[in-house]
Amino acid sequence: MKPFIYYTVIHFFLLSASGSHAQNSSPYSVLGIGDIEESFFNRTSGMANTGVAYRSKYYLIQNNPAAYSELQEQFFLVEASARGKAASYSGNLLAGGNNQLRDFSIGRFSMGIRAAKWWGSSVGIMPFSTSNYAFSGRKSIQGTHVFTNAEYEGTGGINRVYWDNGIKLGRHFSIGVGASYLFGSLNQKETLAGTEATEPIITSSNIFLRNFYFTWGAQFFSRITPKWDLALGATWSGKTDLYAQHATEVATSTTTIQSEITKNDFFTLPRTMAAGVAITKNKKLTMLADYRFQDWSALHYRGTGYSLKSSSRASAGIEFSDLYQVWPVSVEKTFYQAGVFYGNSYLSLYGEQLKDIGFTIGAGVSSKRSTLSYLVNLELGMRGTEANGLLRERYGKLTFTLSYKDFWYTKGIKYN
Amino acid sequence: MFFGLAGLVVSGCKKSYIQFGDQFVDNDYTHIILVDTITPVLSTVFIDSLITSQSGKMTIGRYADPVFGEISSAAFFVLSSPAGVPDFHISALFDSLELRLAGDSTYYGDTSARQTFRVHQLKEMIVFPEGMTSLYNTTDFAVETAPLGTVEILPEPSNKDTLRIRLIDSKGQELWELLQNKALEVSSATDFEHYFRGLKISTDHAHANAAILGFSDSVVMRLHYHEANPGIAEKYIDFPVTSLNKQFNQVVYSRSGTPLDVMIPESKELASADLSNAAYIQPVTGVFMKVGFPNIREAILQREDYLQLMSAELILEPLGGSYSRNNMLPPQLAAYTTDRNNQLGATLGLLGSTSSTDTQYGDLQTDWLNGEQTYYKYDVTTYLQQQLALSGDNTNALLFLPPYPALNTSFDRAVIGDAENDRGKVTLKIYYIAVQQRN
Repeated sequence: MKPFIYYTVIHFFLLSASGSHAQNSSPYSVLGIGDIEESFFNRTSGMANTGVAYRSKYYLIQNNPAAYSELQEQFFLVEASARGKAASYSGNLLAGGNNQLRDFSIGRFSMGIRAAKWWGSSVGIMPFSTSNYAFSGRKSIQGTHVFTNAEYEGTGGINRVYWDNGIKLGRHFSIGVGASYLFGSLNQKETLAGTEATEPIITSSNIFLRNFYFTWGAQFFSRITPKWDLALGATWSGKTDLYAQHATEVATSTTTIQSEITKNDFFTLPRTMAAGVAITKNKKLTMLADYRFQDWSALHYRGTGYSLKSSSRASAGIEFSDLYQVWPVSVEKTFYQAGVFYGNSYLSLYGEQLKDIGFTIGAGVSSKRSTLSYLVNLELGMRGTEANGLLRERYGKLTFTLSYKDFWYTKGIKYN
Repeated sequence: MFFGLAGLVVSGCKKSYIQFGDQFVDNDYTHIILVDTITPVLSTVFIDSLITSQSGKMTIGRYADPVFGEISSAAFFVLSSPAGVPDFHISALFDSLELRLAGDSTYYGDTSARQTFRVHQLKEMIVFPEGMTSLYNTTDFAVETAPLGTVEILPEPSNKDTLRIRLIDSKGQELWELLQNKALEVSSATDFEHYFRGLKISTDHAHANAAILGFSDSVVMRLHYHEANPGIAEKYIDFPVTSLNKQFNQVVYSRSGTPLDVMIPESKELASADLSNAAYIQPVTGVFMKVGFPNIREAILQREDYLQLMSAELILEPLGGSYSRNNMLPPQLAAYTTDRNNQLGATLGLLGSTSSTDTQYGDLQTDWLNGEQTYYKYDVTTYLQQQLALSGDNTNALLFLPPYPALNTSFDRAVIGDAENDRGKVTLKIYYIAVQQRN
């Protein structure tokens, strides 16, 4: 077990460190705090990330911290996810040529245990938002009629380190809290080149963001008929101010000319709420639906040509689990999933709130020779519009998740 | 397997430029700003004399330049004895003596005017001033009253034909006898110099507004003779120039009636305001242009948004109408650092492609059609960065003059206007990085 964990952790951080360029790319990530990550990189990703009411014994479900109370006793879990994305862009104002992107990002690394009969817990790291874009433009040389070439590159994003806990209260109710520390930076690099000036001028504007962020959750679950189980779930996060330090550096290719902290303020995350329902037939067929809402409009963020508006996302999923019984527990060999989603993103450009629509399919298989499970899901979607000079993004995301489970400790099973 | 796949995906990543976002991005922090309102200070530096010896070139002629005045140039040189004096046949007879000069196609002035070249023998030997090893444009040596020869020509500078000046037969006969007798006077260069002293070639005052022509310094005096042994054989003996360090050009000028006809102060420097709002360059007549930036520090550093000088270029526009095919601009002007004492320092360089520093010569662009795009241009970035770092009164400047050998052989000249001159001026373009002030 230990070699696996070491191997996983070391590679995760090596990939993270070396792959700073390898993030979720999108031209729209120039706005706001970048692209807010809608995926949980877990078992629910194959069901359009529908899972506020979802509970699992063998997988870490961070959609709702209350779900951790369902984890299998005496086991611990380690999961890691990675995602590749390909996207193409179209728009009336988009010049011809290559308007395609490919990238790769580390999705999540997490570990979880059932710490007590009534308490499940998990720690992990995953992206909260990412900023990754590049475009070129022109900038006038003041005092002349001449323009200089300007290239803009955005990188960075906000990471989320979390410690989620779920507590079971009675046989049908669970509550949870996800304590996250959000940190990261949104970086924009402007390179002015091809000017009368002899060297490129590089202006790096970085916004360093950080603060704690809490998500509260609750789940109700019960068998409603001998065949059918029902689960209801809800999560809520309060309005949270992220400390924002704005730093700017001006440099040539060889020399830093100026580096200063230009401003300290806050970026506020809105209150967020989600609700979901899941019904399961014979423990095998599960149908889910979620609705998430973020109250961005209340924050009144706006800039030239855009504003942040309240976002919403509705999704539904279905899962078939192929179980077989290994006394005294049932074991899952494979599972198959599908999902659809429709959402209004928090970006409104020239009065057009960007819509995101798509579907997912997924599957998982448990290794016969080990306690490893392999999950894969594909998401195909479309975001944005070609109206008002905007872009339509058609994308595909392929996510791999590796799940490892092993005994945490055992008191043995008593046979009477 | 998982990480193998991840590795494959990572290697397939690509970041493309999607042309979107320009309208949303906050890019007001950094700007490049051009300032061309800072006025360089122009002046003209006058020098008393300039070394013209051993320049490799003889300049001979006269020209009345509308700006720089009446200018004449005369060549002085010393001839050497023949490399070897042959044994003459008894039938050998002197024919003629001539001076042969090879033109180098350069000229200054009006080549359509005829002019008369006069060759005078020096009355005294050419000797260096005490403690010196050079001769100057102001150096003079007395000559015999009667010329040894004269010739009237219509110059054809494009034709590099040899100019031949017939010298008087009496001098030729005198030399012939010395040669026939293998006299001491023609036995060595030193003895010949003591005997013959040297020659001066000048032009006649009657053609004051003609041209100054350029010749190679490999002039020879050729004595022609013939022998009948038994057939007629025409032969000659050359008296070459070998003491090149004693070949110099004397330049005499009169600035009367020109913008430069002013009282030259003790400082030998006059501001452009005192010289019709212009500065002047013609080193062989003793004028250099000086450009200073005494107010650069205040003008740039006091700008609130100033962050750093990125580049600076100095553009020198010759006055419209001040140059022509007869009054050519110097094709190259080097910029030498200097100070209030007008001593020449290092030349302004520019980092070349091979990391070596190349001297800047202004890369002259000549607009013969309209005259509006005629200019020299210099990258003064590094120089101004150095000046910006200096506090206190800045008396540093740049002196503009042609590089050697044009410096002391060419009569090309330029007139550059100051900021008040609307016929051509000096412009300083400064590009600096400006950053937004967040108060």
